[in-house]
Amino acid sequence: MEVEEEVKRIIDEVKDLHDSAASFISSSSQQELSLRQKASAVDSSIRRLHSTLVSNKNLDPKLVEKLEEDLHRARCMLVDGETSSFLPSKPQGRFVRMFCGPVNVRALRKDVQLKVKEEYNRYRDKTALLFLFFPATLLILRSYYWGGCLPAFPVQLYEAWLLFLYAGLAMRENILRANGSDIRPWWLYHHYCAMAMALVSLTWEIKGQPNCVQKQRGVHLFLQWAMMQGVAMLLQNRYQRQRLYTRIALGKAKRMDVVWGETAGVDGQLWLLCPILFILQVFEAYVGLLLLRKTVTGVVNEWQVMVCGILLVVMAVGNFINTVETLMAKSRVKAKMKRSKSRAELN
Amino acid sequence: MEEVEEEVKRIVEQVKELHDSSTSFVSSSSQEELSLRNRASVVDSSIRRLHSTLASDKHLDPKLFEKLEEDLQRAKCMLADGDTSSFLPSKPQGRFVRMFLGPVNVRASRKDIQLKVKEEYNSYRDRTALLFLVFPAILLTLRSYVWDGCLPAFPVQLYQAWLLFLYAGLVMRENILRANGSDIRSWWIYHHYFAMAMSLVSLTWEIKGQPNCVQKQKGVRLFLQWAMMQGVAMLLQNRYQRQRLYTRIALGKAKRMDVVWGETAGVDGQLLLLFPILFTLQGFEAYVGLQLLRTVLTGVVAEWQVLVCGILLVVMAIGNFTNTVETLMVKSRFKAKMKRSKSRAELD
Repeated sequence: MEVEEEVKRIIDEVKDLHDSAASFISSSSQQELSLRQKASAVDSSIRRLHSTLVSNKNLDPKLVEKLEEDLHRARCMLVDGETSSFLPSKPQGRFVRMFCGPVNVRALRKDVQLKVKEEYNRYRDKTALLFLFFPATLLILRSYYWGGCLPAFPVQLYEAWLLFLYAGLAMRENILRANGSDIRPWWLYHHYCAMAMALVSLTWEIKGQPNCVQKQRGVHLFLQWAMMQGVAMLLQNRYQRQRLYTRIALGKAKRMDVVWGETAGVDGQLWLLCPILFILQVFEAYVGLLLLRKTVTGVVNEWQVMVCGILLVVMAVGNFINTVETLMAKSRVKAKMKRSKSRAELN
Repeated sequence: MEEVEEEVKRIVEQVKELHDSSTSFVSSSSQEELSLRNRASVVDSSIRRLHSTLASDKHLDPKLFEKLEEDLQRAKCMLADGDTSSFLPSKPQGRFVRMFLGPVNVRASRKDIQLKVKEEYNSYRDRTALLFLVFPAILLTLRSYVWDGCLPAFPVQLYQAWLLFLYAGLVMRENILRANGSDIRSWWIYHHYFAMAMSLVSLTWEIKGQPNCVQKQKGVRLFLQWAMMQGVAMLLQNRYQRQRLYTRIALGKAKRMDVVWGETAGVDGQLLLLFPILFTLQGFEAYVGLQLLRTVLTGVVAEWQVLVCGILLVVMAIGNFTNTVETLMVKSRFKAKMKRSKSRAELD
């Protein structure tokens, strides 16, 4: 019977498929393991050689520089190409493990990693505008429509949205780090602090009339802080997008020199971005100090005000320090690039 | 000195080699994976096609029909339960996972990793089920003996925030399990979304203090009682699921293709204990929801949070009840089928 034969054939095919799948999985696991071991061995050899070079005082300095450059180039090739997936990875963040369990969020292929980064940038773009727009709308409605008093529900809705937004950002950034991105840990901690602020503000009682101008002062300051964050995020997005396009363009041209192009093409933007960031950070600290002052002078004595004030000051100080450190790291890279360029021209 | 130069040259060569071999590995394994996926998808659709052909064919000898159906089912299980499962076309990854994690692929390609994910999920539930019960119990006990019948705002809000993160973690893990082929009913995931909404809403709930806080805090007390019930339900379900998983693993080691037949083996007694308790808890959950709605209607407390929480509780109770009944019915149909095939095997 036809049907009987077909069923028999299907069963055989399934058995076949099962065997091929099992052998594929085991052989690719073996190959992957051997590649990982090789990558880890090469990585540690590079480190060892690097420290040997640095500690060896008897070498001709020019030779040392050339060798260091070669090592660095080799390292970049290791880190930027397909081999990066086989390097020993940073242990996956506690945050990701706390919410997702032991799932491996590390993409094996480089193009998937780039896709993750692109999606992250798009996500930031989508939300940066809302970040600015939502509190602006609330404040405008407050002045013209609600008689100077914000009703509780829209503000709480906004605070809940902020919480989920920052949770999404924190999660994505943890995943990017697991995929080899060099996001500074502070930016992740900044988002954790922002999540805490959104959570704390949710419990904040939004008192109504009468005299709500004074009672709602804390909420007012919170919304202003949120708008500043939106502006900062928009500016940072533009800057990061420029950097990424530059890197991709250079990557297509000459893969090993991607890192040298770190600062190319975005100098002008950097000089515009950093002063604005500093101003925003100062304003953030100012808002935090205002909130702390209200607690100290006893105008409002809820714990939320104090906690938010502390969080804001911590965030402002951390942001400032990290922005300065990033600037310093970039100028070091630029100086190094200039030196190697001029040396290449001399030779 | 030349040594160092030599070593550096050697390292650079090694890196180039490694780069080439990893590129070729990645591309060849992608190709093989693609071909396996195609084959799996073809086989899967052939099985479906044959199954519908069999079902619609009226001229078959019924005994032959049953035998062929069993063979097809066995093939399907082999496909779904073994190493091939990673190559089957997967359900599109949940919107929730994409919303928080982006386009990362949370589908583990190897079966042992999938089992590890499931085990971690179970141990996570175990860890938290106890806290689920202990935390509100402590709050209520302290209320009676230390706080003069009034709950201070901060501990309760801390607890509500913890609930929110707990349910978010459960939801995320369950979505990942579904992407990895688990057959969790969608309702349980929605139930956790509703619970997350409840925690979020309760966070904005103003916890009024003295005086007369017994009446004002009635809603909060009902919320804590609901949370304790949830803890009990979770503990019972964990025990049941653990038994099921061990049974499946044991049977899996014995006879891989018959894992699905062992679905109900060994846990019958527990099931009969579990379901009445679940029904009782669901009844209580609906009762709490209706109480909250009543406090809104009689105007004792006029906040929107009470209304929303009341509605959420009633929805959750009804959904839980409906799904528990459906699960029971599916299981008894299954048992009947198993008995029939067992007796037929004995006759032959």
